[in-house]
Amino acid sequence: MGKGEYLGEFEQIVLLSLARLRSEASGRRIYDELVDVTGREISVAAVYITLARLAKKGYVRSSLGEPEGAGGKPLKYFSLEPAGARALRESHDQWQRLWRGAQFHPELKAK
Amino acid sequence: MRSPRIPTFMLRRVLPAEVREEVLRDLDDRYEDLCRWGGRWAASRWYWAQALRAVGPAAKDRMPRHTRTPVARRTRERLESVVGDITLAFRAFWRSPGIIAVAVISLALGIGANTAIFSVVDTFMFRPLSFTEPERLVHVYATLPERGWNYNEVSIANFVDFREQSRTTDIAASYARDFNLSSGDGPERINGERASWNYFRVLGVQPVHGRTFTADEEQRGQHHVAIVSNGLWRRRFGAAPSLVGQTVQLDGEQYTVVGILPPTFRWYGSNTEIWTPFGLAGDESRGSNVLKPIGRLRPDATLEQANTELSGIARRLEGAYPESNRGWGAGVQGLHGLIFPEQFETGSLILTVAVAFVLLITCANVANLMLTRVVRRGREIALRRALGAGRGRIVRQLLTEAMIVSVFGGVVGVVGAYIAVPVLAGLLPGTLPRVEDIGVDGRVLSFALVVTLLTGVLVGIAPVFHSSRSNITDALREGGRSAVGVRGVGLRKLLVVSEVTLAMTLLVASVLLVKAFWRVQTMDYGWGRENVLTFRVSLPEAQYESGETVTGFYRELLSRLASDPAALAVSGTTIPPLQGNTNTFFGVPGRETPSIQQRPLTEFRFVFPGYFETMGIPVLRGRGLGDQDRPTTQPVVVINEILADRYWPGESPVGRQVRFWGETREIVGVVRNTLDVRHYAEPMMFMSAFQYPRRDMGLLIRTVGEPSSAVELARATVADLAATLPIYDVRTMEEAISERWGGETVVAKIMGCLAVVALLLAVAGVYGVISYMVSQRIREMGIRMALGAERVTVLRMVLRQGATLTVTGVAIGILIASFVTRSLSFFLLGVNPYDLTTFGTVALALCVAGVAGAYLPARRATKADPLDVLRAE
Repeated sequence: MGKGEYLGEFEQIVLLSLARLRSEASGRRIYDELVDVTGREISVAAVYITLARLAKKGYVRSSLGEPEGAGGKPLKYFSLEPAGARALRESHDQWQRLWRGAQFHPELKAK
Repeated sequence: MRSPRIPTFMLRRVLPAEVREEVLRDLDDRYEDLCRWGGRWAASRWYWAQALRAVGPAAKDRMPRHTRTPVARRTRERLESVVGDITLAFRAFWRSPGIIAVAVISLALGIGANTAIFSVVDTFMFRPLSFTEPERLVHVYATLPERGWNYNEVSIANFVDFREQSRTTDIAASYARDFNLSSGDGPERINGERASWNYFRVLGVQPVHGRTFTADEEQRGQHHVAIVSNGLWRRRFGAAPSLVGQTVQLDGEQYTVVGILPPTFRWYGSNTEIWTPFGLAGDESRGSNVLKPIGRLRPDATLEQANTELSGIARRLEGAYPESNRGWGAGVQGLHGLIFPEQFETGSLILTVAVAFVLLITCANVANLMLTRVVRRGREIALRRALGAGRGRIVRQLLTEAMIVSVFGGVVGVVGAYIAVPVLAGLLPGTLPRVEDIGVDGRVLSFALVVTLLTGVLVGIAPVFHSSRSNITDALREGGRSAVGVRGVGLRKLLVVSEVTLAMTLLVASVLLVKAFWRVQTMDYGWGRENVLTFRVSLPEAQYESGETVTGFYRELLSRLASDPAALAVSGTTIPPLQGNTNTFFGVPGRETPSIQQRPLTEFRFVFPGYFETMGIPVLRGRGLGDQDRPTTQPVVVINEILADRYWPGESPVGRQVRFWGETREIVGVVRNTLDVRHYAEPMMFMSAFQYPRRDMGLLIRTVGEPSSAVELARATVADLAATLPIYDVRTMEEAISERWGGETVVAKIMGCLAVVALLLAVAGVYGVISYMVSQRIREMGIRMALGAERVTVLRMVLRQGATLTVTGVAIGILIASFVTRSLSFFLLGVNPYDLTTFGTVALALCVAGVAGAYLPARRATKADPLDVLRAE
């Protein structure tokens, strides 16, 4: 991870879904997973664009799977690269360190 | 199931290439699924949402997040804040869509009108002429400084000397000489010119077939060659290249066609179709100025050098031929000045200024609207400033809003201009040069862009000015409701007063121009305009060589026409009224020959006997011209009143003599003044066309009924006498009147429209400001009335405010208008530029309109219910 570079929120979400899906991580599986887990409306385009960006940074590797059906184009599958795993871990640690010292006023405490 | 087209297109545009296909495939699959499960409507909605959601991430992807250079980062930040400003502006617009719509429509009107007028002005004034290297082409003219004559025509003999002696300029010339073309199918009158051999060479025109003239062909005897236009070649000769080398019959003589011009060649404002060389014999007159020579500066020469050189040549000619050239100088100007003489410049200037006035009025109105919004948003703006937005930031925000409104206005205006420009071009007389070139092109669009941006600044300045003066704490404390003191009203009043001022100026100018237009349409020309048909006949010299044959033909023609029951009277003249002019110097025997400034000058025409009766011109003294005046009898002339008064004041000129063209002529009669090409009477002399036979005549038929019904009679009678002789320039006197004044009156027509728009806008301005003031002071009105003020008092108070604004504007307007109207005098055609009635009527009308604009809000003020107002406290 380069100096001063950190993962954006959406990038983290996408990387985490990769870690959860392992070998089944095609673009559309990732989208479904994210919609299911986060319950948010998510942009299909954003998923692909983010994946492409992460691949460029060397965090993610893509490979072509079996063509689906006759004449169908093969789906692209994505998996975590060591650098990606490291970045994800580092982000997680960062957050943990920050959380550790956090104190909340009683009124603000979540139910 | 096909996915919706528009979002697909949008996605294709925004998505980065590396993911485009994948994303679209995924979206299409899901769309199909959704269609199956949730129906088409829901699926479409989802697809649209996905497309819109793609824009953000895609844009971010294009703009790298982690830019390393500080400059790039700053640019990015700036860009982001501009985007922020625009977003904010749109959000603000949603809150007052009505105001914004009105603003956009007004600006569209203003910018559209400016764009449309510019498309005309650009064509006339700025666009380069469509010749090779047009900037090197010049117009060579003669001058007679002692009489203040400039840009005068040049005689053929002088032209030949200029061309031979000039080292800086290649000079060429042509003059109109129409022909009867009688090969092919039936006789036809063709617009023709006689040209110097180098005419096309100087213009830089290459024939598509054949060649241009040679120097030898300019000499008489060798000049029976012709060059035809591409249009004539297609129309009459079936576009056969073999036409080159063949002969055609022009005025009964054989001419060999040597060249065919390209379709792109045309001379502005003329439709010449055939050119033949001058046919010089070496005995051409120096005194008869007929040519408007053109020239091409040689590669190293400048306009100044050419000017100096030609004045030098003119001085030498003056020394060599003092009797014809005394006092005459010469000069050159850019060719543009020949094609578009001064009145085009004046007309363009008038319209440009007028339409700019309309835009300024619009700007003032819209600035007022924007001010209203700013005042309403006073609290929002104050809050944003309190939260740390700098003054600059707020100013930028307001300017951005103004700019967006103006850009929308500009876009709508340009669309309007696309529609309006062809209409406008159709309004212009087709005889004006280059009318067919008028259109919206890149130049016009760039102009519209510049005007739009300027408008944005103008519209934005007032709110900015206002907001940067307002005080944060006051605005916050007022709690969104304005206190009794009405804020920003001074600025608004200023805007409205300037609006009224501009409208006043524009209205006065327009009314004067419309008056001039009306005047020339309806004035008494001194001849009967109803039921007169004119047409021309031109007898070829080859068949009608002697004066007797010419006179014989016309006598026969006149008597045949007169015998038709449809004709009340018939006659003829070399130039029917309003269709051109010719003048000559003359002397009075027994009086000293005065200096060149005072040498008497008069218009002259050759007419057939019965001309005065046919045209309804009374003979005041002596007699008209009659059958007794023949080539063998004493040469006679009939003069008009103004000529008589000028040279024989207080005595009868009948029996006196004048001398010109080497002959002494007796004045036999005086006729009443008539108007011709000018809007005022000029000295005029009539000679008999039977005493001096002319082959080229304009004939007049005064008809019993509709004059155009006599066209067939004219055609048939002429064809009966000479089968190959065409008639041409057929028109009624009424048509001649509108044709003559077409160029001048179109300015009046456009100005009339602009003035109406300006008046409406100014009234809207008064209405807007007064209703704003009323809305701000409604509590005060309520309290006044609660305390016993009469409704009438309140009404009067508000109306008085409207009246004060209007009257101030009108007063300043009168002042400005009196400076402006003087510069209109060319187009006023004799209407007094300080016409009191016009000034008074317009001022009164504008005052009434202004008060009327204040009336509605005033009524509203009187309806203020004291209780409501107090309850709101």
